Amino acid sequence: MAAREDGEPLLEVRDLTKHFPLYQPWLLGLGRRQIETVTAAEGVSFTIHRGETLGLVGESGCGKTTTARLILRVFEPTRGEISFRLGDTAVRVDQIRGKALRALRPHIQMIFQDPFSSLNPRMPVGEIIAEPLRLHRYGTEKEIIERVKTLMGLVGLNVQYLRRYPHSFSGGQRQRIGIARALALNPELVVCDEPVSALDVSVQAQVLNLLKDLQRELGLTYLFISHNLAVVDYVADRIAVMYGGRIVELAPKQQLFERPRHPYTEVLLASVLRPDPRLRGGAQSASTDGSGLASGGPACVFASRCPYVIDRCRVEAPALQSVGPEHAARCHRIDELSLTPLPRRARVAGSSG
Amino acid sequence: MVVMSGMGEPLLRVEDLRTYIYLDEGLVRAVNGVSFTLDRGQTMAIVGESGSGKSMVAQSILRILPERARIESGRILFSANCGSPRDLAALPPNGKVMRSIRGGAIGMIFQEPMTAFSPVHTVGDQIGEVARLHRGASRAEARAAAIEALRSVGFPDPARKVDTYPFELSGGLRQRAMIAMALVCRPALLIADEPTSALDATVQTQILDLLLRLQREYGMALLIITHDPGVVAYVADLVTVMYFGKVMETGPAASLFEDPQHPYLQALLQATPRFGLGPGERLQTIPGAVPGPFVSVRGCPFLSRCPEGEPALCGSDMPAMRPLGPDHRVACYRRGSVAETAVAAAGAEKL
Repeated sequence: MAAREDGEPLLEVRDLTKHFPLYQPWLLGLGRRQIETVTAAEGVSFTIHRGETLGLVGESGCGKTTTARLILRVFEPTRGEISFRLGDTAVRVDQIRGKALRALRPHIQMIFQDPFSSLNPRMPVGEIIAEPLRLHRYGTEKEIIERVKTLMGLVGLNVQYLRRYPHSFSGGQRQRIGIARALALNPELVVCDEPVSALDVSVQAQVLNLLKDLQRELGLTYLFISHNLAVVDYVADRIAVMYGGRIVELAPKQQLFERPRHPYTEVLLASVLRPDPRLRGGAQSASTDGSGLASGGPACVFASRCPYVIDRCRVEAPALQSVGPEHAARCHRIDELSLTPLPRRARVAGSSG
Repeated sequence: MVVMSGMGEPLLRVEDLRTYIYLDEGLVRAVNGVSFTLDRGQTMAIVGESGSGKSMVAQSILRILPERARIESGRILFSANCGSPRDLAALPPNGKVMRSIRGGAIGMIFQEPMTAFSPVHTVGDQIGEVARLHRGASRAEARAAAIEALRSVGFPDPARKVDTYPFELSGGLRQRAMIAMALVCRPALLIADEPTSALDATVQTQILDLLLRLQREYGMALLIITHDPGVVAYVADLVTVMYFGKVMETGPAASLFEDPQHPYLQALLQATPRFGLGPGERLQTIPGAVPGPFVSVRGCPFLSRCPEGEPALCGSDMPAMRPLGPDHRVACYRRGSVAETAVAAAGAEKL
């Protein structure tokens, strides 16, 4: 195994773009024609360093999941580079196919949001976790069973449940099964797409702590997608904020919360509801409604909702510009605006006495 | 304005409500002895995790329970027009009275506005239908009422949007349309079951602000069912915490968040992902999981996960609600000594 050095770039994404064509039935449904193009991701660039967690936040339709699926090559990118560090060489994920792509798959794995639909209901748990091992010819049957047992122990599942089916597990346990499956082939990068959003609050903490422990023990690198800023704050080192298919701000989490530089980040921070009645009124509604869905045209994606919009924003899309070490934002007025940070809380809610 | 308790009958008084579901696999005691009161103009949040029975409480009040569920016992006393209270639990669910209350004096909004609306009728028709059914409005009056209702919930261009179909609207607008529909008859009580769970964060605060504004304007009581402590803290005056069909703690939101008493609530708030954790600080987890739905628990249902529980003390009977303050009560043997209980009860009586 190649020497693993914490902090070296593991995944580099440059100008990643995905356009989905929209079709309409044509000639009485015999054919179809393209009527429009949806820009799901446009010019997405970021680097994930080995051992870190990059959080990816934004509202539904902003392109978070599309970005994840492009990295996993579920979708073919329209444009852009994805380069993954494998040993001493950089593999161009966007260009390889066939055997080379298959050989890369074990290194990048995914944990899904819905622990119900992401597990085959007709497969016992042991088989679900063993499937990636079998597909990639991990070893003999005995070795595979041993590995499955190790993995179940690793994620806190009772090995006796090997032959049970997913329906007999709770949401939190199912998510553990999904995690065990993702870790089966010793991946380096794990893409976590809303891994706790479907779980109850009391179970979320268990899964989040498990993911943190596994990262430390196995030296994992995470791309962690969530719409919940508090969750991202707990697990991520740096956070990328997406809106309309673009990354509008990228910063270490502390800086993002304390000194946001993009108006959308401000809106997002203002809409956080915290379990503390004394902060009531701290949350503010965004002035307008929007879907976060990308639209074409030369304007800034956020121009139609932005409270600080100027004429320039409607005719020219801003570039992602650096505003400090590791901190970048995509706004024309980046130097003039002084945006409101996340309100500080007096003390942690729930800590009685 | 919150009406002082003690001034006559509260708007809603739920007494020892039990709602069971009869499934082939067994009996689910979804709501197992829930009591609370709600005054006019107040906001109460019922908070709980999935399977806690919180939605079944809402569905019991509205009498829209699933086919296999039944109110076993208990009373749901509702006094809409300052008249004598009516026991909703004793009414036929599809009888004339219940149908006039549902959508009339009690409005309701649901989590998923896409499935709650009919996809083949315009928003305006569906909102107007409420006015036609409950107020006998004519077609023209119903349309006017729908436009007015859409305007009150901040719909842009209501006169035109009244003719749109639900699928043409964004999630936030759909939820606004649902609120408009619930408010056509100016209900005294609005029940909202996870009203913002399907929405993005920025839209969520808009909808909650809207609910709070309309509540003030119309003076209605609001019963919000949610799993999100953040939503509770944002809107609620009073909070009722449910777990496995039972009330664990109830009281003013400020007291419950600042000084939670029940071990379950304490653990839940400690486990909630939140900002401001120090570096290396970990979320406390609650070990184990909620008992399965068919399990019959004799004592406190949180016992198996409780850091302070003792099988000898908590395992045989569910603890009764013990008063900790005028409105603050907790169901835990480890909270509120007998002496304290007596003092608090005496204090409560004086008020």
